[in-house]
This record gives sequence, structure tokens and C-alpha cells, in this order.
Amino acid sequence: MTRAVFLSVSLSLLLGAIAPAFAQDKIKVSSFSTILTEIAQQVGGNRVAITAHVKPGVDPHDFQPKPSDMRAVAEADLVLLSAKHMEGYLSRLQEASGAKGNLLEVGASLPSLKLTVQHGDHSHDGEDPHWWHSVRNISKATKIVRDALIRVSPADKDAFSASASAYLTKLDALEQWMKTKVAELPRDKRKLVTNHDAFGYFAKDFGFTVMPVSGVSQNSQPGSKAVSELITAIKKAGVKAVFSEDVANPKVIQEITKETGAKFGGELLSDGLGAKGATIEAMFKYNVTTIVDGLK
Amino acid sequence: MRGSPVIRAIMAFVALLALAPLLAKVTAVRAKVEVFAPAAATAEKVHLVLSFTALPKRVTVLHLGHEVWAKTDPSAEEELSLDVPWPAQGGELAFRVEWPVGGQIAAMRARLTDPQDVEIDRSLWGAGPTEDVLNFP
Repeated sequence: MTRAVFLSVSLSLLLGAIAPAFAQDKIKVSSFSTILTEIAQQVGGNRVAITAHVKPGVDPHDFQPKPSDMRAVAEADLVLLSAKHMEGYLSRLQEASGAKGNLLEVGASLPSLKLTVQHGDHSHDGEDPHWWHSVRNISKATKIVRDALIRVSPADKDAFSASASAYLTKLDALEQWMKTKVAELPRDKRKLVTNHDAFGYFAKDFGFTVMPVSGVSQNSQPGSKAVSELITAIKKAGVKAVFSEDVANPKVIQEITKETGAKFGGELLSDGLGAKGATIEAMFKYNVTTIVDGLK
Repeated sequence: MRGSPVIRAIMAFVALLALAPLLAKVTAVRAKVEVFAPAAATAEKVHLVLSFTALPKRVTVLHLGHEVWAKTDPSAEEELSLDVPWPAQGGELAFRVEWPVGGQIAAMRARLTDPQDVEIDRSLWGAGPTEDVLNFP
């Protein structure tokens, strides 16, 4: 009896000692995208400890990592990046990460659309980095993150596969909802005027024509010729509403509404999650509802 | 009465000043935006044949978010005509097909003949209540 009590107490003490070690043994993930932060959380669950370097509402085009971000990257088991030239500071992350080879450029494995990139007074073709505006791309990214987490921790394969599968089912339902909502809008009204060309992937999936303020990044002012051409195109197409973006300066769009008679349809979430869409599902539902109801 | 050229120039200037508000008003009216909205789509006749591998309890067809046809206990093949706006670039129809819960996977075939007499064939698969949007073309 005494021996049983002694064994029980010893076992309890031993478990008590090693339990915190297990709790701390989470997979450290550094994420430079609000979208990838959600995906990693959904797939990794409580087995991952995520450092979200780019927070919701922050323009990822403008984000620059601080020394504290670099320290987190140096300690991370996995670093998630949007890619497609979104992280202009990639070489610094590679340096911080060392030779671990744990930088995962998720967008690099996804199909690309072309985009006109403006540099001062000249422009050239580039890759559209906004791949997260396609639910199909989010699904592919989920599988990429799942496989990467399994490589980091093969013992968690079943758990990661199950949670990824559940999340993919939710994404399928979301895409179904989007199809039904967009179907409320006649095809000839699917013309999307926004500050910059961020919705190409969404447009491709749902048959929209994007009419951006031509070749203009979010922070620069467009030339009068570009605006004039856009105003003519908007009038010719009879576009009922134009939209701005949550991280962009809406002045140009407001000017266009004055000149064309189109109404201001609202602010869209273009560069990731934000106050009006704290989750991927909320972002899509907010954007699609705003666009469809605005253009009806 | 002809007066000096200086006086005549001053009188002309004063007359133009007096007309300035009127001129500004006329100019503003001319500069006002003209919006060329595309012509509203008129209703067209769209012919639709629906066939089912397993009979649903009810089937509903929606166009632009509005119910345009529905039938409870449909037969294996239903033929219908819809009067809906149908632009030249085609359109979409949303379908709600209520197959019995717990049943095997079933299919619905939708053959649409558009106003230009082009036939387009689409299908939809599901088990239990199913909702999907089909594109034509």
C-alpha cells in the first residue's frame, strides 16, 4: 500500500515536471501575412505558436520588419510569406533565418496573374501579388501550409490533416456562398472600379472586369490623363458604383464619383484582413456583399 | 455718338463683366457629366430542360437572386421556359435541388437553349439538399 502511494506520488511529480516542457514545445511559426496567419492557426491549432508580424489593417506593401521581427524569424521553425514580390525585405529574412531553409514562399506555388507595376514615370509587367482574393488559392495555400507543418512535425500528421480537411470544407462552403451571391449581379454589370489593381484573382474567378485607376500604386496620385480615360470608360460602361480600399487614399475615387455620377460603393479589404473582415470568411463576405449590392 | 475708342473699350468690358455670371452658368451646364448607362436588358425567352438521376423533393431555379421557377415532386424530366434578361455574353442560374437527406449522390442535367438558339449543357451533383450556380456558357 505504502509502495503504491509512493509510486503514485512519484509519477505525479514526474508528470508535473515534464508537462510544462511539452506545453512549451509548440511549433514556432512566423507569419508575414494576415491570411497565412489564419491558415496556420486553423491547420496547426494549439500545436503552433504564431508570431503575426503583419497585423490586420496594416498595408503589407509598406511593412518593414523591425529587429524584434528578425529575432522571431531567427527562432522560428517555419516562416510564412505571401511571395510574388510582396516581401521586398526577403533577403533580410533569409539572412536572419540562416541556413535553416524554413522560409516558405506560399504564393510562389500558386498561379500568377499579370499586373502593371508603376515605378515613377515608367511601368512594366509584374506578378499580381494579391492571390488571396481567390478562395481556390486559399485552399491551395492551406494544403501547402499543412504539408509544411507536417514536415516540421511528422508526429502531428493526422491532427494537421484533419484540421486542414475541416478548414477546406469551410472554404468550399464559402466559395459556394460567393457564387450564389455574385449570381445576383448580371454579367454586364460586373465592372469593378478600385484604387489599384488588387482584385484580379477575384475578377478572374467570377467574371468581373477590373477598372483600376490605371497603373497607380495605393500611395501615389494618378495622372490626369489616366483619370480622364477611366472616367470616360466608367461613363461608357454605365458603372453604378466605384470602390476604394481600406488601406488606400480614397480621394481619387471620390473625385471620380463626382465626375461620373457613379455612387461611392464603399471600402473594400484589398491587402489582407482588417477591422471590417477579421477572418478570411468575413473578408470575402464583406467584399462580395459590398461589391454586389453596390453594383446592382 | 461714336465716342473715343478708349470709352468704347471700357463699355465693352463692363458689358462683358455684366454677362459673366450668365456665361459661367451656361458653361457649367455644358460641363455637367453625361452618364451613358447601357440599355437595360429586356426579358428574353430561355428554354430549359432539367433531368434527374434521382427525384428530388423540390427544385427551385433562381435568376439574379430571384426565384423564377419551382416545383415540388418534379418528374424525371422537366421542361420550362423562362422570361428573363439574358445578355449576349450569357448568364447564370442558381439551382436549389432538395434530394432526400441520407440518399446517394445524385445528378441533375440542365440543358439550356439561349435566345440565339445555342444549346448549353451543364450538370450538378449532390447528396441531400444541394445549391449551386451553373454558368451558361
